[in-house]
Amino acid sequence: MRRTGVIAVLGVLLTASVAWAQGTIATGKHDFSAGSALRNADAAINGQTCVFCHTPHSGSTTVPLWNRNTPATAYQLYASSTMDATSPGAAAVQSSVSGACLSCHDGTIGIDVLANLGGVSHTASVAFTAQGTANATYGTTGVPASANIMTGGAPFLGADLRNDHPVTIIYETARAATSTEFVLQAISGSKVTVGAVNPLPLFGSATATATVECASCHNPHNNTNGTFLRKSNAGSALCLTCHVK
Amino acid sequence: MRRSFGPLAICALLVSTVLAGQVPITSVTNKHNLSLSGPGPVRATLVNEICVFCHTPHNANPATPLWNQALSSGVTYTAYSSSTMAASVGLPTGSSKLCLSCHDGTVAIGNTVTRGQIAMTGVDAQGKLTGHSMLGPNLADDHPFSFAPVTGPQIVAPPAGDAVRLDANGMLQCRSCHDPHRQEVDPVVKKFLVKNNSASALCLTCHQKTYWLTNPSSHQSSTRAYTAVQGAHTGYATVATNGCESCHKPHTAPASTRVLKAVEEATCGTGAGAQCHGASGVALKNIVAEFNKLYRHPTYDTTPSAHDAAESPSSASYRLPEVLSTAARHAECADCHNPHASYAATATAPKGSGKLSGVWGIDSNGSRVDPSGVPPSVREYEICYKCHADSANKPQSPLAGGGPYPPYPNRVALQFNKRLQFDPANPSYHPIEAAGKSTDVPSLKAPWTTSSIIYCGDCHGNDTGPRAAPTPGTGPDGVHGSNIKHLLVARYDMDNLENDPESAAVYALCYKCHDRTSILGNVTFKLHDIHVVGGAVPCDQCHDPHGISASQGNSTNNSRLINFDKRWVTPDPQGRLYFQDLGYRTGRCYLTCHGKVHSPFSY
Repeated sequence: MRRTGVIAVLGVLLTASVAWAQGTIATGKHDFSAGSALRNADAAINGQTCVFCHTPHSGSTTVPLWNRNTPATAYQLYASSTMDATSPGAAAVQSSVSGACLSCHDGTIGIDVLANLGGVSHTASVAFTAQGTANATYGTTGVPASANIMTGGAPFLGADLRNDHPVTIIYETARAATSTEFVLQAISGSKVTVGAVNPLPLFGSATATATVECASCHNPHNNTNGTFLRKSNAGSALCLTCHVK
Repeated sequence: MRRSFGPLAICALLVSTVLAGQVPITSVTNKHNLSLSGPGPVRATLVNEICVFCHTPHNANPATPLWNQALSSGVTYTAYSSSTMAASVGLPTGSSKLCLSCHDGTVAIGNTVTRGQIAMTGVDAQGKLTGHSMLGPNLADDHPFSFAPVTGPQIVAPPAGDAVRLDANGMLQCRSCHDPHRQEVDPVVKKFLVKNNSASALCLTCHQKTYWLTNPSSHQSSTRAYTAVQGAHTGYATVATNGCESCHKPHTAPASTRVLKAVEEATCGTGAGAQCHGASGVALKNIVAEFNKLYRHPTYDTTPSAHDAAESPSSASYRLPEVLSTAARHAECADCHNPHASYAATATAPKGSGKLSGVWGIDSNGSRVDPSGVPPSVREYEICYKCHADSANKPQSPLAGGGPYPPYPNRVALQFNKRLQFDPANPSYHPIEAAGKSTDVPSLKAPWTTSSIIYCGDCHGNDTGPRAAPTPGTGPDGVHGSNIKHLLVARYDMDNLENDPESAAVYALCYKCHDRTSILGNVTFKLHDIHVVGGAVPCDQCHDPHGISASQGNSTNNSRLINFDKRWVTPDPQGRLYFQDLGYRTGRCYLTCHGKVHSPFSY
């Protein structure tokens, strides 16, 4: 009995350590509840973590239970004479999974502008306070007007995505054109992935149409690997999951 | 179900095998793997990511291709230039600027946009690239890039789908030849080439040198050993597999223009690692040694010389024949040989042999003539005429505006323009352009007849070569050098007056074709024996070995190559100095020679 207790305590400790190492959303950089890097001081939602992205009701259908508005940003997209994938166009990016990420990271919608609060800043512009550990900077104006629009720092991508890895591109288009340059996709049920070890997800239910999105490389809930990468990039393992160079 | 995985697995294996053979960026032996796990010498001391040194998924600069290394700025580059290049080369553009951000040696390696300076080892004190892969701001000694090729007979655009590609703007960039990710698509060269460059397959994608493949050039086909020990820089071990790079070095070339391994003729025989035609044993014969002889074309006397590959009668900058008598002379290997064409093929006079194929010349009318036929050559004398005909600075006596060397005869009809001397319209000439004027030459030895045509090279050339007389030698053929004055293949003691009794050896050159017994037997001229043997008078005092221009002589006074050398033959007391041809084997002379007045003397 005593022994079991010790094991149980150890188990709790281990779980706590994982959480502490930012293995979950809680207290990570994407946790905007009180006490996090981007501290929420609004009493109405203070203490909540999920609400800044998700809602159990009345959420978006594009991204499950999404609690933020779709950006209407005229994105400028990556282009290259040697890229075989077709540029998706700004509208496709807006409505993609990546559009959900960009609803904060393109700097057009305040991070406290939530759908289930009518798409308006819920209380006051003082509701959020960026702490010293925050990587991004936040402005006081924007469309819609908000004090909490991302304006700079590494997490800020803006509307100009030309210097960012392309998203919402159909993986198969590129792979088919230069098959020696890309790893072949796999499909299990309706989930399309790339890579044999720690595969990365593509978005879509068929290999021919599945796309590369922000979430192919990033897991917004888990910052274990830094910059919310889905896997360690040691040896550029993440890049090389798809790219054969 | 199980079976269906079989082909897939094989496919995957094949792909990975091919890539492994190419040494991809992830390989621990790929030098562009700058991560901690890379082979060095240039690598990070802590960072174990591979892509990050060049690429970043966000905030890249420039955006395409998601670039992460800080670009060079404020660098004054020197661009490649050449008189024979149709395209113009400006400053680096496009993706080449990305390569230069490490390879021009001005930016620290690992100086990234998103990570700042990544700690590196194997770099200099400023963190910059050093060694042979550092091109520096001087790009004049590198194959040109960042230019739109101008296609023509010898330059073609890479075919669609080829591994060699121009960029989206039609520009040739570093990337056209190099794939920065795959080190060993050419497993011998290992220089990130986009395709295997054995026998210069990569170079030939764009460069289709006339004659190179069609003759083919000996430089294209020779299987003789040319290894690193002998100066080859590619890793390939024969002349053929080294291909273009037997002579050219595409980066940091010792001689910038045309990216040669050495300056001009030094590339052929004396340059560091470029001694194929010297003592290295790469080529069968040591041609360089020929140029150590007393009399030689001045090929290795001045390097660099005034030679330029763009020379032509129509060139404004590099005109040949030369118009200035004071201009520096030159006789480079490439004046007579085309290294992209030269091959072993025989020809019948006057056509030049395969060794002279692909070289332009000056024809009997003084116009430029280009090679044709098989072998694709001009007539041999047409190559000689580039310098020895209308060129104002040709070898000639001071009396004609030239220099004192070697000395020259002072003939009644003084002429050094060989084109004028060999003109078939002349009263007499040695049969260089056409069969000789006289049909009565009984001294001719078989196989020579009065219909024969001879080469300049039958008289001028190696005194120890195959055309030497009276005994042919084993040295190289050709007009490179000789220890006999006037660069002759055999003795012709024209200046050794009266101290040098006639013998088979003394006039071996003439006796090569003209039978000594016949000449001294007085068949056509009954006093030959008295003059040549009795008076020890050299042939050339009466005979002009080349010919007498129709503008200076006539068939009465200048038949049978009669053109007295006034250094020895002087006028008679009446001031007359000429020969009169009086018909079949008869004639008379008005002159004074060896103290004897002929006023006239008839035979």
